[in-house]
Amino acid sequence: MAIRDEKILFFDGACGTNLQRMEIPPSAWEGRDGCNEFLNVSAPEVIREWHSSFLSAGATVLETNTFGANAIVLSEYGLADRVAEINRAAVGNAREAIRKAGGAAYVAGSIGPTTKLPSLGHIAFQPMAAAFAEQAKALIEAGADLLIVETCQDLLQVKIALISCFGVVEAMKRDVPVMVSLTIENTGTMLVGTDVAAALAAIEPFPVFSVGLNCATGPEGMTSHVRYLCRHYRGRVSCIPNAGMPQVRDGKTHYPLSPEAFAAQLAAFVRDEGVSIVGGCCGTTPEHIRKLREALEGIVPSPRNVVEKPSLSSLYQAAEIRQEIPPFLIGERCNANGSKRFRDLLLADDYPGALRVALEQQEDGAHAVDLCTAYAGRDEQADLSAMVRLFAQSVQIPTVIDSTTPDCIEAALKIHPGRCLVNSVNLEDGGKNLERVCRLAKTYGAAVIALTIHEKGMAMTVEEKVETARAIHDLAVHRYGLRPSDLLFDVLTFTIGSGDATLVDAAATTLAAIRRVKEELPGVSTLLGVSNVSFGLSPASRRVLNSVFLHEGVAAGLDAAIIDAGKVLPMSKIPERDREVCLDLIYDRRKSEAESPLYAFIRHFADLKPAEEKSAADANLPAIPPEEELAEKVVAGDKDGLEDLLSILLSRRPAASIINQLLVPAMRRVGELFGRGEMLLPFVLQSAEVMKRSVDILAPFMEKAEREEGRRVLLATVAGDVHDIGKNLVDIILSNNGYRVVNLGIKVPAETIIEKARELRVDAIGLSGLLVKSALVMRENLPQFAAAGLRVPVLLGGAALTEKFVAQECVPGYPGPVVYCADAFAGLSAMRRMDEGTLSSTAFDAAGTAPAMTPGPRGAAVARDNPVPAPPFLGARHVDRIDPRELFPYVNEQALFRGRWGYRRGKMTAEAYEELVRGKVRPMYEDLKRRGVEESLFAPKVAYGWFRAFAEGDTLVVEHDGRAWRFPFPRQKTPPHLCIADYFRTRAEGGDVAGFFVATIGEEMTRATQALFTSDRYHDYLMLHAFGVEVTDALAEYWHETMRRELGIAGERPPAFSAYVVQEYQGSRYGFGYPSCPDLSAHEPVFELLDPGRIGVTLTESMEMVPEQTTSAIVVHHPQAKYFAV
Amino acid sequence: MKKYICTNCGYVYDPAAGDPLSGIAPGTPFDELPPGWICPICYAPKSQFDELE
Repeated sequence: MAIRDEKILFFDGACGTNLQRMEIPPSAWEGRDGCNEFLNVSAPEVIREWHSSFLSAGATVLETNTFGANAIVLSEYGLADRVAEINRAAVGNAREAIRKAGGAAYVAGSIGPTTKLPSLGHIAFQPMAAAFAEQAKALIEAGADLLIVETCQDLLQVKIALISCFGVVEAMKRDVPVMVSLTIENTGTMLVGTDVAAALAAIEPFPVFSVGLNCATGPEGMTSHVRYLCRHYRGRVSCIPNAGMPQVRDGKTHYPLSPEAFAAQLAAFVRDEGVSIVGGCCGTTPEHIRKLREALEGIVPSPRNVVEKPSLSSLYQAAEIRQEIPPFLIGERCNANGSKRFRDLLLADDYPGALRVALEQQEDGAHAVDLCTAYAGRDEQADLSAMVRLFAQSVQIPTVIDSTTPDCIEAALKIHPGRCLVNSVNLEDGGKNLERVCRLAKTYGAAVIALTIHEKGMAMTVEEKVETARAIHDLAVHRYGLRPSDLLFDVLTFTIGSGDATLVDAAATTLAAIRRVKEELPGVSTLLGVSNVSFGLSPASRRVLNSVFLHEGVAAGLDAAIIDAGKVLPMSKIPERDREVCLDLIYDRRKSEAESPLYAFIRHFADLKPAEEKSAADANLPAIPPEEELAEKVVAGDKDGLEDLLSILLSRRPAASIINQLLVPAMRRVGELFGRGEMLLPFVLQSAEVMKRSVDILAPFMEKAEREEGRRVLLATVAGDVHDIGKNLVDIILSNNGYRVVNLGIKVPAETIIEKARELRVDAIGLSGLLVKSALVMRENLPQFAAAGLRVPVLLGGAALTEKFVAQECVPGYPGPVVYCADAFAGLSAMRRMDEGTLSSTAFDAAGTAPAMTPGPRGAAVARDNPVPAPPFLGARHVDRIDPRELFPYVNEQALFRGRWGYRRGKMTAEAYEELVRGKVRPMYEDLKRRGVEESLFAPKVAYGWFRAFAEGDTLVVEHDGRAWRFPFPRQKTPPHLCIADYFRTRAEGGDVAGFFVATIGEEMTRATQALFTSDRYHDYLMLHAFGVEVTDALAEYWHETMRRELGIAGERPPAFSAYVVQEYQGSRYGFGYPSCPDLSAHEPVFELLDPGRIGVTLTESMEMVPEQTTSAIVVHHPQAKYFAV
Repeated sequence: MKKYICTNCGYVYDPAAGDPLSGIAPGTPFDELPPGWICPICYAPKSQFDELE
């Protein structure tokens, strides 16, 4: 079978760590101790034995012992002249081992990264390429079936290796697949700082056999990178991890991951993500490989839903060419011909100064930076090379190499590690330059900008532009092997500001050409040098015209623009009248007999007073005092221009005053608006984000003492409880209202709270918890606090708390004030009362409250003769592949939008509310659903089963496998005295059947929301967390329906979601910890029956399930069973 | 008469139907529900209800 047809390739395990454990005669080293590759020649039997051990474990691919067998590394051992011999011997050893074993296997030539990092200038392109080419040639000549460029730490080294290998493969005219495998450290990037997206962007244009990861961590540590590759790369993905993270024990390095665990984790990647090449790196033994083969017996890689994202990259990160909010902005100021400042720096040989121009554009929001050093009298190649070297190391965003000299372009491409864009090619000379540059782009994996200039000059009409683009496209794609996604067409734009009569429709022509190019050349992108449209006009008016034209371009399909990123005005900042005048000029709409659109334009902008015109470049000039503007920004939740505004304010007053006199009162206003129902919670959070950002900007300008001012509050979710959304909202509100919050997190024992409260001398303590059990924990904690001598006020919050409970059971246990707070704003209000000295404990007035109602099914007694359906099976089953999209129809949108997100109608008119939902809430929801799927935030899994059961008084007895489990259920104290056990037949009545499930959406959601909280993205944190909660509920609804169907009682599906809310189906489910069975200790038998450990769910000591987004229930089929509370 | 929706669970109080689970007769407007009335499905208080468009 050809290697490309193998469904899964099983690589062998570790080389170095295994050789270390073998008996190697000291003489074999011949003085070159540590050079494992030399053993191929001096002790071949040892190498063959090592290969054999993996063959018998079931490996189908053996890697040659040639990791360091290149001239660069071997020269350290004086063996640089024996490269070919050593590589040949290595391949020979592998072949011999295969022959002896009698089976068949492939031989992969291993090419390691060497010890030099070209991105840091340790070695130049040429010598490294020569070393790789020499090694690749030797391996292929000796008969290697494929090459693996592995353990890559430096993206430039990756490119050099790939270019060398493909060069050799082509020259030898052999079909030898080339794999590339990266090492991504625990920090999340390759050694030199490259993230997986940047690496993929640079590698993807090469015809590699697979992209993957090896070394550094065990399988789990590679999860997010493997997922990224599987979801965004069309080819094969490989995963060759270590046996866990190394530990040092008794002076020796030990890799702790067992063969079984290693195999299980790696097999999951194949099954769930579609990885199709697996193996082991450091620390893995033949046993690991054996278990791996067992775990994957009969399994094929899962099909993959790949979304490709053509991108450019720097050494550090990638930037998608098709931005979610177009256009892709290319900063234009690093141009010796276009920018006086840049030119002056270059002429003064001030390279660091020139670099600063790039960094400023990065700050301004450019997605990439254009670099052009061509200037009469200077050595373009020397300048370009020096600048690219600087850019490569210091600029986070990708570089656009702006040159028409192929030699200069090539020199730059040999230095820059990421994926570059070459600016530009055209057909001016009939195609000679185009050929050279396109071939360079193909060799180095770059993208190319193509201008619609043909042999007779610049294309002026729409037809000409489109035809020229098509001619370039056909050459680039069909002759030079580029892909449409590698091409960005600039259909040219000419100035409409010169009065030239032949150019009045130039802008409209450009826009039309963009539309046609996108339509007729699918897959290509479009680009424009936007400022050309306004040559000849005043600087202030140019800025507005450029911005409007850019906006029109994007509407026509423009993907990228070369522009001064700092001068782009969003349309919302351009007055209606200005926009009109610009559009008239762009589309040549004559509005009056007397004057042309151009004169109208010039006149309109000339009317601006000179002073205004000068600062029209800074359109943020406020008409109101900056103090008021800051307050307005807080209330509006608007972070735009915050830094500039704060700079202005800092010149007028000290930072502490800005916070205390301007920001804090603004947040107070926000709280008041919320309290009156005039502002909704999501907007409150956006205001809090503005507050937080402002404080962060101001912090460096404050004295340490000032920064630490403010009452200190300690927050914690109590022991055994993992819920923290409520506590975190309190954190957000308090810390953005002038209080200093210390957030201890979840599951915090009383001892820790006491210790921290003392150590930090806090002014108040806030306890939070979701569970009924947590309320009891709080009641127990308070006397402990008292005994430890604490007296500060304690605020209590949590879904299970009531005023009555706090007043009657918590207050007496503590000498200081104990206050029930229903939500974050109640907490804020309590803190303010504390400041004013008017805080007192919660009291409960029984007489003043309305009588508690207990709704629930009334009337008929529970029938005893309903049929008991036959269970579809008995025992537990586990489902770990549920498509999250199946769950979306079951999401309770009303509860999500109104309840959890807080988008309530309140006092709004029906129209206003509808507009809010249509224009803001629903699009956000759709986007979250899309992202949830794309970013794999959901991994829905269920553990469920059916069991024989019968009622015994108030207890349900479940029997299975010769054992019995008891579920005592509480009974209502008032009529109709319902109890869950009543819905089951007794043993005398013939027994019954009960269903149980534990359902989770996994832990990725928890990680993603936590990341948002720690990066102060409050609004998004709330949105995502609530979304996760509702999808979990949707999973419960979906699974309950699945179980009804399996049981045969499903009948007609409820007609609309509202029918699910009122349970228009047979039977009911009751969640443990909820009103009808509040005692979570029922989780113990449920966990024994269902073994949810197999879907990754565990219990805390308070019987709460982890991960957070998990729900459990008992499924009851009795037709009269519906929700009720005890 | 206006319907109201519970923002916690989505239950819709329809005055034409009343709330049999809590003994509320059909034709009772939302504003006239007794002070202790809670959502029959999830027990949320009246303050958590929104007027439905």
